[in-house]
Amino acid sequence: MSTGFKSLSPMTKLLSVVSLLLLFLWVIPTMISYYKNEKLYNQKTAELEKLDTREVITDAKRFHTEVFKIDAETYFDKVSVISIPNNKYKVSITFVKDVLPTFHAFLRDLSLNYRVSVDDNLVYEDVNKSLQVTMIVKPF
Amino acid sequence: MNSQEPYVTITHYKEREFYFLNYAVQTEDGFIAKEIEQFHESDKVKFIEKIRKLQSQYTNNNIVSISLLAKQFVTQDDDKNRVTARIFNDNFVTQEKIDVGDVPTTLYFSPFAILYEHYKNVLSDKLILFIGLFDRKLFMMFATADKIYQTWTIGTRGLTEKQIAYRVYKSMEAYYKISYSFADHIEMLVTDESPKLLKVLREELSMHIELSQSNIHNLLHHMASSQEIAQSSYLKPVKKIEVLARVTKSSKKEEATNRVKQEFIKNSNLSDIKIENNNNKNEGFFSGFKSLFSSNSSQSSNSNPSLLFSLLPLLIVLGLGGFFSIKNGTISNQLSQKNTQISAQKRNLALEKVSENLFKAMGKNAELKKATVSTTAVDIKGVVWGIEPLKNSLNKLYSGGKFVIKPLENFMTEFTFTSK
Repeated sequence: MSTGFKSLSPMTKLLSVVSLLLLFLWVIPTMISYYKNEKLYNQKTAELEKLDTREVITDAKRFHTEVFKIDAETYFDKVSVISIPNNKYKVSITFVKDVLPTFHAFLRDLSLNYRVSVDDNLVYEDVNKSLQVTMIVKPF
Repeated sequence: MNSQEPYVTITHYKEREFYFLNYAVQTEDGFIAKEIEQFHESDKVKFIEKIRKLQSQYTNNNIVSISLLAKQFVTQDDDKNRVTARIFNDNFVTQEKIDVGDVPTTLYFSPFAILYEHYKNVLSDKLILFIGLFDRKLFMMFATADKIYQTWTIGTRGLTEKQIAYRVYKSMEAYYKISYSFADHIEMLVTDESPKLLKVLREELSMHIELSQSNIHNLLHHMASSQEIAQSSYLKPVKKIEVLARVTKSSKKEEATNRVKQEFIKNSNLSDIKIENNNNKNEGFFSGFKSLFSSNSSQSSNSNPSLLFSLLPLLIVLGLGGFFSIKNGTISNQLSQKNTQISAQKRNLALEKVSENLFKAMGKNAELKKATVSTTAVDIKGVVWGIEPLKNSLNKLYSGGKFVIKPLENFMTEFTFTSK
């Protein structure tokens, strides 16, 4: 076998060595990393499914102010979305107090319906006998 | 086409990796827009199917889109070798190509045409800078009632509001250098809410800026709402004009030529040009392929087959490595998104729980005025009727919290509660 290798041209030898190096130093580690990530991804998907209590399960939509407003306005009286620095949005939702359970359900499913995270700070305020909730969301 | 059928405008555009689709029924009193739908670019087939479905559902339709190319400008001449649209008088929006891809489109508008249509009634002798904010690009146009003098397109992605204002100012300065005139005031049309940008522009430019807001779909529905608006300003395909010229030359009868011309203008649409362009592209591709093939054959006679054979493993390794690198990059992104989504979801559940408990604790004993709620702390203020029950239930939730009551002038009692 070594005689066979010696009989090859220098260029062929060089290419074979480069191929082997690439295989062991780049391809195999990338493959291993891919399969590990894939396994982890499946685990995370299962974890998220456990947290999902929605009746109709859909993929999270990209956060788009217009689409979000139109969706939210089907449940609440007034919705405003204002762009603020650091790629965040200030969302204000106004509704009558009886609709509070709907808001809680909306909040619970927010990151499942849209690719946004809510800052750990909600502000409830009484505005003319209605409740206004202000929250900061960040698309991911 | 049945005149009894409603005229429907189907609008679409692409922003980052998403297609947005909408349709509206046009009536004499305006259009009635339906719900906006979004499709990820991986769902392009579904997106096109939806357009086709709407087309078959409403046969009297126009599929309308917007050109969000950065390279487009207004010229005084109709450049026959480029894609153009007449805005008014001798002002033509010009761009290199039509970029609708294989998405069905019959009318295609430039933001400059939309700006003109939106503001044509405010044009006067005064020089006005019109700014349109479409998909994070500023389309700027200096115009009076006579003509459009200069246009600029500025990308804003990744810039702060102050940097954007600085660029707008630089454009105004550049225009001053070529014309020795400054815009009297600014009109701005935004398709996404951005009050901070407007505030900063007003501060940095120290100028009066009028703002109006509308989403891209509604602007497009309006552009396609009547023959007069649409016909004058949609971007016309280039190739059709050449075909028309050929027909004109070859025809001997003037009358027949005019008839063909009228027929063409009536029927011209982007699908047609797309096919022609594709043909040209194919021709170029085949000629390129042919030359590649011929050079290959001449080279192959000189090349050493053993060298080619020894290249094979390297190519396989590179292919395999490239494939897994791309796959790994994609799954890593998806994994990081999933992680973010899980932590966001856990926080939402916790916030929901805290909020629910808080309102349950107040029950009928108090009425909330203001509350700041997080997963670790709460700060509430309101009016209380049952002091002891409220205090107990809040302390049960947050032991050691500070409960303070204060009598009000109207015989009511205000309470504040801050968790430890």
